[in-house]
Amino acid sequence: MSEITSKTTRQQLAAIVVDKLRHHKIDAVLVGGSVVSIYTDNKYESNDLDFISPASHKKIVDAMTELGFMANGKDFVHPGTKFTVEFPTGPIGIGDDQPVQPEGKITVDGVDVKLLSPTQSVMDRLISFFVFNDRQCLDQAVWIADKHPINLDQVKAWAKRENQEEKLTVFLARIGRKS
Amino acid sequence: MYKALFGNEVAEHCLLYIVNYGEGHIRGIATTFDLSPGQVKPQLEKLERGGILVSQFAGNTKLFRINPRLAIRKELVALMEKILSVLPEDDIEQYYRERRRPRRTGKAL
Repeated sequence: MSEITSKTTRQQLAAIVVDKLRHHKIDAVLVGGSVVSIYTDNKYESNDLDFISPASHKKIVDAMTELGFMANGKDFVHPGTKFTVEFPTGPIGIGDDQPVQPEGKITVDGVDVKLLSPTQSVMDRLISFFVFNDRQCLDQAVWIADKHPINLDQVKAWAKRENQEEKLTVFLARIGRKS
Repeated sequence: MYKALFGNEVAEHCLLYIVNYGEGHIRGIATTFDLSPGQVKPQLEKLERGGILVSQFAGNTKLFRINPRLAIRKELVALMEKILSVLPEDDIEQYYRERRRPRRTGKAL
């Protein structure tokens, strides 16, 4: 696996981290803004790579240190890259749905990286629109839907469980669908 | 954009802001649109008197929201959403895309 430099892309860094964690028998799933960056070809740019992992913090620190990362509070920083890595507390949840099984995968330099699927990432963004009225996240959900097929039935059923059908109509209108 | 519909531009700003962000307070709306609180306050109070908005205190801040019991709430929100959807992109970025989701304390911006 290659060295971490300023030229290392987000996807490459995710693969480097996952590969290292895997050698330490640590499972991790990429979630959050970086997934949006990947699915929108950087239309939304996040410099944080958030991984959800069931492993202990100590085990994670050991693995990340081997890659040259240093723990800075909850973030891991590396002198060679602008990207930071964080391990938020799990399990993966999207609204009241948790734990959520990740349905996405990308393969980078032969390493499989588990991540939220485009549909799950849309829901992950929409929950911030539903709960916090965050329109940036609504935009991000729309951008993902512009670039990837989304399982709207799954999104609608989830929004119904979240009691957010009315707000979902704003998203559906933005992507040109009727509720 | 449709100020004639709302009586004046400030009232339109207030309603668009509140629908966009779910709620709003006098200083927040005034700061966003570079207005004085004295311009915003009477419009919010007028809309509250008219039953369009309701308000409640959160600490010392009076928060205004669309009246959940308003008979035309759904239609009003849909209208405001439609107006938001046709605003110029520059206006959207400047006035209606403030980050509202939480950010962990100490997290670098």
